[in-house]
Amino acid sequence: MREWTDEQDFDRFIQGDGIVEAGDRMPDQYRTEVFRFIEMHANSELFGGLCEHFWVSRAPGLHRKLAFLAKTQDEIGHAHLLYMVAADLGVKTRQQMLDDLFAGRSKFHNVFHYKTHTWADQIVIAFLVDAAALTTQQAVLKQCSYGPYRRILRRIVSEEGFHMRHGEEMLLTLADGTKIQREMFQVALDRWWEAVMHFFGPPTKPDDLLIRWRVKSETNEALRDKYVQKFVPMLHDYGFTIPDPYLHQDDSGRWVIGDIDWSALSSAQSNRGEDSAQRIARSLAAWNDTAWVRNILDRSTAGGRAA
Amino acid sequence: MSGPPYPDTAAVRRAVMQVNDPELSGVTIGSLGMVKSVVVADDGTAHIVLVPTFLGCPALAHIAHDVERAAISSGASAAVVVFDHQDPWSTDRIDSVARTALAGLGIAVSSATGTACPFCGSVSLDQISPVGPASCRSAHWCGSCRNVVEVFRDARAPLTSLPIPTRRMSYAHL
Repeated sequence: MREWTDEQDFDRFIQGDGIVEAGDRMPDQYRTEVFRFIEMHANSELFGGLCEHFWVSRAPGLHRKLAFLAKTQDEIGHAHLLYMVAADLGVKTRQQMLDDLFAGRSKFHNVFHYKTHTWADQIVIAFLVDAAALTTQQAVLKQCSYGPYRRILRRIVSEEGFHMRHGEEMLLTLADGTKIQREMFQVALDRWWEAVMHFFGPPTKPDDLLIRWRVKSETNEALRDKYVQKFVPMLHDYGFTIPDPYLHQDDSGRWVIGDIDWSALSSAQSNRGEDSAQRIARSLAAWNDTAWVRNILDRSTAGGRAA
Repeated sequence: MSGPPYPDTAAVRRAVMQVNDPELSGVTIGSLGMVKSVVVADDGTAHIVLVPTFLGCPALAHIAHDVERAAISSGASAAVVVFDHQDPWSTDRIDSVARTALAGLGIAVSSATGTACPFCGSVSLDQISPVGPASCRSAHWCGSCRNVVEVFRDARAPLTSLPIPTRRMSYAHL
């Protein structure tokens, strides 16, 4: 267990690429900030898994169903591991985190506050949203100061890369498909582009503690820009239109997006998005529906190992 | 025989062995012991037999695709990839290169003599759940260094034979 004499001492440790371990006597505020960040990540993985799960029975063909089943397991598995790392910080127990989530008191990513109307909406989530998530996670992994989170992220990033590959394959199927398929994707892109831009969050404040303590390595706007430079040309190449009338290239060829209206993000962040209530209700139903599995495990461990 | 000179089996085999596992960066399918046989026929077609680490592995189609491309880019005229479901894969097939790469990702390989934490080496890992994010790995908690660890399971061991989590003190608070 390590201790630091004061906040400056801790800051110097972080600036010198120090890695904080679970048993260290870290500043309370660092503990709380790291906890909140991991809790939101865990919640979002859980909602991502439930979102994928919804499409298992609806996905076209056995191959896609199998892929969605596997991705559901990945995401729920990620949530499972992240909740442990979060709970170990001692701010809330896993049960408290779940209670807060089901009661609508917690945050999860904005994209899970909206309805998926069509299969193309789900492809936007599987490709464009997963790619956005991967962009932000890679930036955290680059210099994350909290060791146990950094170690899990390395695996998560590796697996999300595989998800994206699957998402891109699905997108290509629609892009190479019939006029109806292409139109379906364009409608979905029109519906989701703003939410994808919102995903990176509003401009980072100069005194952001997560940047100062090296949980995040880059500002929200830098990550959004990185994403725009990569995905705008890609979507153009596939023949789709980005729903942003002010989108243009500057003299150096960089893509510049129009001003972002943040009102939808504020509603989503306070769990007042168009689908927030249903998503939360579905997550609680999923938790209750699987109570029998937990009961069996609890009963068999009460008397030691099951035969 | 007519046609261009085709590569020998060894060259194609080398290329196939180097194909990366799509979910585990830096770990090749050769190192995981998934490549059972590679034979280049007289017409230049590479016949490749792979052993999946798990029957229902969702990455199989991607692996087959990558293997086909590797075989063709190493000179084979065509490639036929078959998965062998008779010969069960086991963790014994994972070589030391893959073991090191897996440890870097926080994944240990199950061992009858005690599975060690890839971060601190402690052998007192507590299993939390028989499957984690992937069917081929179980989730564990290391009470010594307080990290989450995944363990590559032996595909031959049925799920029902795995120890049921015994809420030990190391993670009772989680």
